[in-house]
Amino acid sequence: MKGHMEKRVIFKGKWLPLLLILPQLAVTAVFFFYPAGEAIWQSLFIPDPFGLSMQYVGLGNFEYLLNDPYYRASFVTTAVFSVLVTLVSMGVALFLAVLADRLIKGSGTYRTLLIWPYAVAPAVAGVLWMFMFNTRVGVITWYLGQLGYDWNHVLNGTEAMGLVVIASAWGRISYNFLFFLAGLQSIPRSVIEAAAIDGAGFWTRFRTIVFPLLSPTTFFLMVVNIVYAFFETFGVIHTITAGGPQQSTTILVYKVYADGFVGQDLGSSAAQSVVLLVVVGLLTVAQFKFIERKVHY
Amino acid sequence: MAPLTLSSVRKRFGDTQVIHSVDIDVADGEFIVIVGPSGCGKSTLLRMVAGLEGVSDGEISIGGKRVNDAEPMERDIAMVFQNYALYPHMTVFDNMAYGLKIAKTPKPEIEARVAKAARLLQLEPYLKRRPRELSGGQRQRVAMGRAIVRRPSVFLFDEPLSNLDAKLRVQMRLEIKQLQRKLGVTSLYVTHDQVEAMTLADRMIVMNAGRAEQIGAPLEVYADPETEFVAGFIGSPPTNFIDAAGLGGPGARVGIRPEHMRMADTGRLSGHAVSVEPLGAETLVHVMLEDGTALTLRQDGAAPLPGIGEAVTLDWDAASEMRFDAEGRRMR
Repeated sequence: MKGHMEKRVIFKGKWLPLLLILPQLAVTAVFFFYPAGEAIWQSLFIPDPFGLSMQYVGLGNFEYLLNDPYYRASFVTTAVFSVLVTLVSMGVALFLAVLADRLIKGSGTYRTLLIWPYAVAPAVAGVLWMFMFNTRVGVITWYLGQLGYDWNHVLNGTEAMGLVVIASAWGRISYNFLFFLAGLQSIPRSVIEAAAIDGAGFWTRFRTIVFPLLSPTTFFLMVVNIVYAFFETFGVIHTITAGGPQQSTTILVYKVYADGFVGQDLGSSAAQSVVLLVVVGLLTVAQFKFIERKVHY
Repeated sequence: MAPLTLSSVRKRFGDTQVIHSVDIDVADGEFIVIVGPSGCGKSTLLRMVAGLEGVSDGEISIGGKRVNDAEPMERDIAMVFQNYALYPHMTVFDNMAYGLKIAKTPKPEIEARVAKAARLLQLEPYLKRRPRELSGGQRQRVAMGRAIVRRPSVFLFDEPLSNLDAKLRVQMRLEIKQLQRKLGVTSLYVTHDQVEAMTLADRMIVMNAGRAEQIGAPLEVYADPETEFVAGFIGSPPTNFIDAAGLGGPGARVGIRPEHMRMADTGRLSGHAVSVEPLGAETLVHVMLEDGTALTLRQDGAAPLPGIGEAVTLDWDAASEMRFDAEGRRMR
């Protein structure tokens, strides 16, 4: 960071800045600090099923969780799920962005069409994909049947995972596409031309010039997508598989819901929320600490 | 090292023709400068030679081989861009070695060639740095180095000095000239700066609105412009143009270089001095004629100066007159 002199305008006074960030602080306090604090508090108790009394158990909930094979399996499921969602959504988005970047005519239309899926709510996207892959009336299931493949995500855990990954990644492609396209277009044309003159074909250029220059974008999207896969895919999973079959698509955030609101085990659910909070916090810090160093040029 | 030939080369973007039939024969090792105002098509022409733009019509050949449909990498050329176009994520060494690595040159040879280029360009202390850690002049040198190490048949320069400050520009201009002499590589250099063109070129091509108006050695073009545009574009301050009707004789307009016009007791034109710019060795005198035409005289720094507003009479030798017809073509 040497050699960077930044000129900043400094405003004096304490009350105006405080007043200006107050709405943001209020929102954060009401919707994050308060529930997070409440979760931490509740994770130390076991309430009775009717919510009439609570019994203090210390770290008992956490101890129980770590020894629960279903919970540990859910960790693995979440890892597989989020890695797949991130890879699929970013891979497809990058491919489409590279194509759109090469397009001169009609790129506006192409872009607009690709952005649409982003406007579809996760739950709606889930229903959409569920219908297409429905084991009895799904159009894709029917085609697969014609090809001799018997699709049944209701019984087959791998297929269920595949389906929720596709449905979750699909809505995300638009978002990633926009960022990748902007990233591609900010690479100076002359740099690409210089590489072409230096003898690099399309793939060599992509591998040695374009992809490294895109790395800040790629890194940013990776963090955002993993966090998305962790938290915002609830709707998709709830509508398509509801965590099944046999918990094969029960990711951590779905388990919080299933154990807490369906199973009424509020203490465990709260403990799981706390674990989730810590995991995502660590993940983000680790990503920024270790990976960011390599992506700057 | 190879000759470069353009014959009846044209370029159209849709219905607009931007290059109208350009013919150039560049000899092996020659330094050719294409000069013209912005939008005259000079950069497009260079990019066509590089293979970055298609050729609508005509033929481009390098070393006697037609390259119209060849990819840039197959043309055996190297290009220096206006913004240098260095690879920002690579070190200076990797920037220069990039083309060689792709060509699968053996590692020891890559190192030797880069080292040699770095020595030649005084880049040795910077080989491990990234482009953002270099000054404008150093980046320019890296761009040159990247071109040199590949030992191409033709160098293409697209306004390589226009992002540098005035002092550095003069210095780099000299270095480019010396380097080109030393390496003897055929070079095509595009610029809008007529001083750069005059000082660098073995021969220069003056372009205007997609046409090559004149091709020739710099001094030859200066002394004997073929068109009114060339007479006006080459030379600073530019040639004075006077309506031929008032002077008699053939043609529509008469051009006289500032240094060929002088103040005299009796002369063919009269007006008054509007401003005087003493530059030391010489002085520029700006004169307004009665009909409102503005003229410039370049005279010796020691010559007597007129006062502002003072009436002056102007004269010149008939031999220094350049007459142009209504279409701007020179009349002989």
